[in-house]
Amino acid sequence: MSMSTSASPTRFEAATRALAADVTRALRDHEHPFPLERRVAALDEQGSGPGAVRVLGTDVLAPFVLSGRLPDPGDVAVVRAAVRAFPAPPATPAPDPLWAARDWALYRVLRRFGVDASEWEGLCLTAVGGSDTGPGLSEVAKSQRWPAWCASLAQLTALALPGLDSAVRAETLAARVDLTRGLARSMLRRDHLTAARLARWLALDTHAAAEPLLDPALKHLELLSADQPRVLLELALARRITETEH
Amino acid sequence: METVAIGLAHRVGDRALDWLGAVRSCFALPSETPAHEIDGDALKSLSELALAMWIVRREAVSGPRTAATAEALLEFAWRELHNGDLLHQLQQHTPAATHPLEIYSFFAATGYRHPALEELTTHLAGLRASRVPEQVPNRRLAVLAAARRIGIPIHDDPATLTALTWLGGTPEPWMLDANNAYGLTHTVFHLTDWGATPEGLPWELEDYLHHWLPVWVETFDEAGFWDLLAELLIVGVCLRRPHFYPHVWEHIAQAQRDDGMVPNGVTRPHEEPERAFRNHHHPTVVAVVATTLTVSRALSPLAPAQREPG
Repeated sequence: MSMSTSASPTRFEAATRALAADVTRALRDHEHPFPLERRVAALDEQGSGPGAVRVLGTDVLAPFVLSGRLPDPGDVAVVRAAVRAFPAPPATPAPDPLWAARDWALYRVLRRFGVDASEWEGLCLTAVGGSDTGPGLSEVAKSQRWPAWCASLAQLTALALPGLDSAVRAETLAARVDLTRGLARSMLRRDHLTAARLARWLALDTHAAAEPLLDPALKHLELLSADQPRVLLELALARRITETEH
Repeated sequence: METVAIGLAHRVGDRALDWLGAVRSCFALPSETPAHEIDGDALKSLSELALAMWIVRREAVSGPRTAATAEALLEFAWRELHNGDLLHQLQQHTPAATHPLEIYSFFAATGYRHPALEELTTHLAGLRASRVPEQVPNRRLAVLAAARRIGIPIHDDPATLTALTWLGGTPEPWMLDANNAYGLTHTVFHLTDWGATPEGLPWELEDYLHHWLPVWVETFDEAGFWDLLAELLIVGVCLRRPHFYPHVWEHIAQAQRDDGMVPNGVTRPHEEPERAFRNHHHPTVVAVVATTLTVSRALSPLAPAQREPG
C-alpha cells in the first residue's frame, strides 16, 4: 500500500493517528460502545476521515470484533464510503496481494456482522471470491529467510484478528520462533511499529502457544512509543486479543 | 555449510593473516620502556595477535603459507615479550593484575613456557585475594580459562560465575547493546575455550543462543558492525550444534580491503595500513579467529551432542 508513506505528518496522517487513538481508547475502554461514525465525522471537517478509515482498514472494526457488539448501520456506512473513496488498484494483470489480503479481512469481518460487502464499490475483487482460508505467505516463506517473512507479516496485521482463520495465521502458529526473532530484531532496530505488529501476531495464538516474552515486550513498547498512536493501536489490539478467549 | 562459503571464509582468513604479517611492526612493544610502563593497549593488541595465532595452530586448517605466517607471528610476539620475562616482570610489579597470566596462557598452550612466571601465578592463584577480585563475571571466566589452559588450579566455580554474566541471565533479547554483546561473546569464548569444548556451555545457554543469535547476527550485519559481527560468528561455531552464516561471510568478504584488512565497520579506515592499524587491527585479528574456527567446524563437525538425561 502506498497510502501513508510520507515522512512528514500530513493532514492525512494526522487524521489516521487521531482515529488510531480513538480506536485504541475504545479497545481499552471496552465496556462502552465505540461510536465509529461519530469519530470519523469529527475528523472529516477537512475531508481526511475516509482516508484514515481506509488506512486502518479492518482495525477500525476491531472494537466491535473484540467486544462482541455489532456496529451500527452508520458505522458500516463510513467504512463503505471509505472503500468507495479509496478503491483498491485494478486487479489486472494481477491483484496487489496486500490489498487483496486486507480487503479479504475486511470482507470477512463485515460478514460476521451480517453485512454483505460483495457489491461494494472499491473492494479488491479477490476478497469477495477468495477462499475460506484466505491468502498465505507460504511462497514468501519458502523463498526468503525469517527477516523478510516477518517484514511481510507485519504488513498483514489486518488478518491478525480472532476469528479470521487465514493461511497466514496457520503459518505464524507454525513459526513462533521466527516470529519472536522478528519481534526482537524490530525492537533492536527501534522499528516499534513492526515490533508491535509482530507482537500482535504473537498475541493471537498465545493461548495455544504461550510466549513469556510477550508481556514484557508489550510493556516495553508501550513505554517507548507513548507518542506514536499507530504503534499504541497495535499494542492495544495485542493486549485485548490476549484477554479474549478464542 | 556450503563449500562455496567455506572457501570464502578461508580466503578472508588467509588475506587477513597476510595483512597482520605485513603490519607486524605495529604490534611491537617499545624496547626501552620498563614492563609496567608499557601502554596497556599495546600489550592487549599483542596478546590478541598471540591468541589468534594459537587458534590457527590449534585448528591446523590453514594452507602451508598461512600456517608459516602464523608461526612467525607467534614467535615474533613471544620475542616481543622477551620470551616471557616481560610478563614475569609485570606480574612481579603488579601481583594483583590478571592480564600477565591471561596473555601467558596463549603461549603456554602452544608450548612457549616460562617456569618462573608459572610458579608465581600458581602462588597467586592460591591466595585468598584471588577469590575475590572486583572484576565483572566474564572477566573472571577469562582468568579461569587461562589458568585451566596453563594447568594452574583455581578455585572459582564456573557455574556460579556464568550465572552472573549477561548471557547467564538469559535476558530479554532486545536489551542487548554493544557493550553487553562483547561480554556475551567472551562468556562463550571462555566457557568453550574458543570452541575447543562446546560442552562447556550449559545446555540452557546453548538453547538461548540458538534462539537469539540469529537476531543479533542479523542486527549487527545490517549495521555493518564487522568487529562485533565477527565475534558473534565465532559464538556460532562454539556451539555444540554450530551456526554458520554463509550470507554474512559474503558481506564480510565484500567489506574486506584489498590488502586484507577487515575494517571495524564503525570508523573510516586510513588508506595507509600503519595508520589504519590502531582502529582496525582488532576486527582483522577477530576475522582470523572466526574464519579459522568456521572452516574447522565446517570441515570436521564434532559428533552430534547428546543431552544428559534429566
